[in-house]
Amino acid sequence: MTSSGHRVLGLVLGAVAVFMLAPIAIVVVNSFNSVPYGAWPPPGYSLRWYVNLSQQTDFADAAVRSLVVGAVATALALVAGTLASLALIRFRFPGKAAINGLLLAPMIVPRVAIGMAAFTLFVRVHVYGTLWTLMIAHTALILPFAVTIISGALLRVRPELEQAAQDLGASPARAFLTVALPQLRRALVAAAVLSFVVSFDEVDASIFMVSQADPTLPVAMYNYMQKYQDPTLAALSTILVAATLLLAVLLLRSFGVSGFAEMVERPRGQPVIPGEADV
Amino acid sequence: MRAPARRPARWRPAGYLFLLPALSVLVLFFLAAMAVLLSFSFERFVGGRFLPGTTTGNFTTFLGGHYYWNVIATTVKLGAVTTLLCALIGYPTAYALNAIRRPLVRNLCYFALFAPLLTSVIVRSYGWSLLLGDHGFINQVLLSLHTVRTPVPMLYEFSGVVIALVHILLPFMVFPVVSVLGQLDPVLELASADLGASRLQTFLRVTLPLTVQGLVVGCELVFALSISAFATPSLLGGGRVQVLPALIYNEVGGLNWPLAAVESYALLVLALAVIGIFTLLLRGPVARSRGAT
Amino acid sequence: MARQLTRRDFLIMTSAAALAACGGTGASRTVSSSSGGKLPKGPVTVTMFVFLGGDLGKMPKAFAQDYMSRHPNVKIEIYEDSNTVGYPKMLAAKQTTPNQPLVNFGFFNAQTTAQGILDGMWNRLDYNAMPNVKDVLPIFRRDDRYGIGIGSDQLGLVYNTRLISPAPTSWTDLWDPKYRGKVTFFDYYWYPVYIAAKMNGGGLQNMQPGWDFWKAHAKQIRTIVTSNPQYLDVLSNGTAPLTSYFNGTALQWKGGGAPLEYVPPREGAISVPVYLQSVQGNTSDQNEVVTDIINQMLSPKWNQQWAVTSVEVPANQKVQLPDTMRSLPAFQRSTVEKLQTVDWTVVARNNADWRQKWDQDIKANI
Repeated sequence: MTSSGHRVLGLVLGAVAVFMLAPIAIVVVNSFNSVPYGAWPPPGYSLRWYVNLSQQTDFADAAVRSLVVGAVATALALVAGTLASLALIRFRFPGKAAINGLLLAPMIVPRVAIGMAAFTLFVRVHVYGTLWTLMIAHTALILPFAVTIISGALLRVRPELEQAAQDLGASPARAFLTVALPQLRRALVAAAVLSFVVSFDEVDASIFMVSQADPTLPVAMYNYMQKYQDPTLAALSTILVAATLLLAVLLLRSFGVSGFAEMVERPRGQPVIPGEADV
Repeated sequence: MRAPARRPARWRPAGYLFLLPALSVLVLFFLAAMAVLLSFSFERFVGGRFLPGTTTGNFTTFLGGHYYWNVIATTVKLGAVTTLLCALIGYPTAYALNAIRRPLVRNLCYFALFAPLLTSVIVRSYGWSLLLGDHGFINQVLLSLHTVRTPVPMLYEFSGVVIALVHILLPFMVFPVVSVLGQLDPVLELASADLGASRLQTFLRVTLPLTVQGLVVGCELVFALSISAFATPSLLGGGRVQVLPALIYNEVGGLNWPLAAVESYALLVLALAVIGIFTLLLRGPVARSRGAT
Repeated sequence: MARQLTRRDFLIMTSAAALAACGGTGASRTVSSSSGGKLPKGPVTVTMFVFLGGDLGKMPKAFAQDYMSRHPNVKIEIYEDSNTVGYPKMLAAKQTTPNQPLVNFGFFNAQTTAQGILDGMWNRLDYNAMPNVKDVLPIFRRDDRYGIGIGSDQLGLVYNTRLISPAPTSWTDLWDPKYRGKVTFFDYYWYPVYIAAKMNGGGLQNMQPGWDFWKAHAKQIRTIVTSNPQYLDVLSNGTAPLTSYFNGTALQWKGGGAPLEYVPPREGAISVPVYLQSVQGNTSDQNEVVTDIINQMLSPKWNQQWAVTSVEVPANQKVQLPDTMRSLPAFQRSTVEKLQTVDWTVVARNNADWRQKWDQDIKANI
């Protein structure tokens, strides 16, 4: 690519990065605010909200709970979502349009209404407040993301290669796992990241489904916000963002992986379908 | 380029088998909850309490109210504007991300895209209010440069809600496009260039059609998420941006669950209809893109 | 029908509180807790609804610890939530499993108390089995015995001291042209509409003049807020330096360093009592324990803690308030004399309609 092309792309990325990071940067600065209310510029600087955060014991438990729920729900959604995508893309069957709509629906119905209804449901069958109900609920809520992204990518994975593998004696499952799945790697990682983050940030429905004694992190944050109005949550967010950055750097160092980009991108120059290289 | 020898999809019961895990999760949780909502929608809520018997009055109240149609219009407008902006910003971003070779730069860009998702909506909105407020960062810069005499109202307006929604939904546009771009065969672009096509021609004739599927997925995600967003319009709309999800939230708190249920179904129908129309409109280009490989 | 608080009642109340404060020692007598072995001996677990906000959880939590140490067979679980989110959950649980209430007793504001009466949520309390009730000011007792008051907060004007001078004095300041575009309200806040209705020939039963008035004056409002941190920010950073809100919350913000002050309007602030309620569907053992707990919470010691942490007028006339509290504007005799009271049953009946009017007539026009 020419240097002018690079410059344009660089400008695009730079502008987008500033746009994405600006509100976070301002939150980080405000977490060192000396007063409880938000104002720009802060009237003074202090560490009092970090000290206050260290005295809140609930957040650590809630964070662990959110990590567990997010991880389990993401894993379930990826497996169920990949299988469902296969069905939608590779098979023809009656009622497909309806099922397609149904798979998308949990993303659209407002979470607060789902949460309210789910609460009634859980109480009726005596499972309210259990962690596994929350995991199933989150799986349903993030399934649309997994299905949409994976099936979008699966559309571009041609069944012919798998057919070839099967012709050579591989079982259909093995053919899929060894031929198609590697091509889906990028979509799977994208789906996993978005699913996990949606689960980790979910508050509207969860606030009805968790018991107040065992909240997830966003619910704990919401509760804190109702009690006290100060930048402690800004301090907590700063730590979350910093921890993610640190985790990424550590992964980079210890595994020699060049980070997220490497994970989602297949080696360059390798055509999806080898035969087409000699067009 | 040769046309693909694409096998027609086969009708096999196995299709249902593959759907089993997803469907059981949906039936166990989502459909059961939706059934509860449906039963709420026929209940009678009068004078602050639930009365025995059923009614269809909640539906007629909603469908007959001029006010509710205004809210629906605002909701669709918010979704459309947000989706359009996300597509316009997100596609070039994805393209640039895909083109950049230096791992460090690429990783930093991914981090920038990803970081906002790690802060809760409350904290993000707090950040935006410090940036966009009448006495916020941007207005202070504009005032000190004498660009404007009075603060530009951005916060607690439609524009502020759009800015914040584009910010948080951009990753949902970029990721699907990047994932499709990654599957794209660079040889095709090279071949196009070899055949004498300009870069713009190559992009318009080869790259864009081939990646339109990712764009469609992104638009579906962003549209669905933006019309069902509750917290951002509530926190940054200042009461001026009345959308259906915020209305539903208020009805739940106000115990008017029957109306909340009707509004939830209305939102679902609205979203499915718009996405359906969208998919139909794009069926042509998408089909062509598949034929092109 | 709940008895309405009158001006006279409050006069009696403050003078009684002042007397108790001056008299000193008389208030220290504690009432024996359990009345003659009526309490269950076996293990009992009860869940207490506690307000989510500021220091409102402190007294209930301290009380629970103390009570459990004195009654090893009783376990008190804390359910901390706002009435806005928590009550819908309680109602949903009641409709689904009426014999397993989400919580067994707790703290509820006046409006939720009235809503609960409509929904058949509360037990009638046996005031005769509660020795401390005799020290509770009559206005906090209820003729229908659905719960009993523990304290009362008030709603007036809250303003930014750096940006508004002189201080606002009247409800009419909310629609004074000089504050056009400078007022903020919480999302769904009917009180200024009620005040406007009253001043324009209407009232709680006829709110239409109030809706018409605010529809015409909607441009006074700079923004509607939906969360407390946002509320604190727009008031403090100058986006909208004037509002109407609770004395208790405003003082909490002021204490944290925000440049805010509470003013009781000269036409009278609105008094907002807090009630202790026992929930229907409790077992008889639970009811015995709940009655005993509510009684003990009304003792001078615990009621004083509640009044101080919530900045409310205490229900028990033997409570001594600290001087710092008695010198606050909200506790002045002139303020208390003018307090306005509201028929919360009318509020509960019309709440859903008012909320829609708020969205359609006011929010749609700002």
